[in-house]
Amino acid sequence: MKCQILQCKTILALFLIIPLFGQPKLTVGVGLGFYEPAMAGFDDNDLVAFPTGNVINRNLLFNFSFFYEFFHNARVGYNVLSSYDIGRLEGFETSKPVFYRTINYRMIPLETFFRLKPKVELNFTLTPIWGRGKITLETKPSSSEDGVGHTITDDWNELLNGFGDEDALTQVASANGMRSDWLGFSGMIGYRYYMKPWLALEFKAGFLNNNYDKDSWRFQGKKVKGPEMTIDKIPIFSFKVVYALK
Amino acid sequence: MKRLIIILIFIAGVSLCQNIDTNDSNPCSDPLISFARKFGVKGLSLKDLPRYYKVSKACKEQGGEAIIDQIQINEYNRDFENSKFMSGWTSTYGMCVSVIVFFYFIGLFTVKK
Repeated sequence: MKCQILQCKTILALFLIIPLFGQPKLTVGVGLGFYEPAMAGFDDNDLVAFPTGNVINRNLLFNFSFFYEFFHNARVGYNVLSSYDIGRLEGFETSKPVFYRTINYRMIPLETFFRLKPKVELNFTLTPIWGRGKITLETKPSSSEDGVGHTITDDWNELLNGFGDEDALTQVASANGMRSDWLGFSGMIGYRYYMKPWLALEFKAGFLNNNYDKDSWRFQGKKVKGPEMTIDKIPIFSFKVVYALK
Repeated sequence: MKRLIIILIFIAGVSLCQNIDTNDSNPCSDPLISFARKFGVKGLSLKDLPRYYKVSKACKEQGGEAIIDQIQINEYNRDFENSKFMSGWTSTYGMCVSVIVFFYFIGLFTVKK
């Protein structure tokens, strides 16, 4: 069927004309960040043997970003840098719970930029940070026949004791984690090289300033102590691939 | 339900019509290529992008490499023209960020705890 209806062309023209009136430029970016926090609460813990720290679970941040260019020289978006750690906790009385640790640095950056050359861009970013740390234990309930063995509550109490929290928990629901939120801000300067008009590589350098407090963790509605981490005022470098959707 | 079927048939007809156009004629003269030449690839709507990439690939294969390259060069130049200078508050903002980051790094290397 060969369609030659005028309507057909009108619809096609409509699709083509609509972006003329507003040309939002949407970009998504995926990449990696590098920083060097001091995580004494995990690395120098005498009571709990946390998974050994390495570059991936200490220094590497997985980065995802989404930006909207609202002006020729400015864009606003959402950027998240995440650090993950997973492993079995050794040294507990009878069980070996699986430990998950996530730290997310969520940002709503406002970025201004200009092009040095047609393919080279310099950008300047300032952003508030809403950081969130989360620790989860995947543990089994008592497996002993009389039901007197090691319980989830015991595992959590051992973990919290490891962070210096002596206030014992009485009962813990099976699936739950402790979390902490904090605020901060970050500043970065970036260099972007466009390989194609819609594809670029970006390198950024700057700092993260987090108001993290180890005493403000929450676990099932109760305030508990968390790990000691030095994540305030740390330099950060990131490298990402940016793809312009539009 | 009846309306939905009619709309679906209509949409299928439209896309079939688009496919026929692409297959029959020279891909380099596709309306999407003409549009991209005039307004840039970023001016295309999201739903047109996959088709644009398909058509531009076909155009390249048929010897229209120069056309596609020109679209890219125009795109670079257009973006460069738009944002080669900072205007309004953006330069002040950029300067503030530079100063903050500069002093942060100075402090990092000079201040001892």
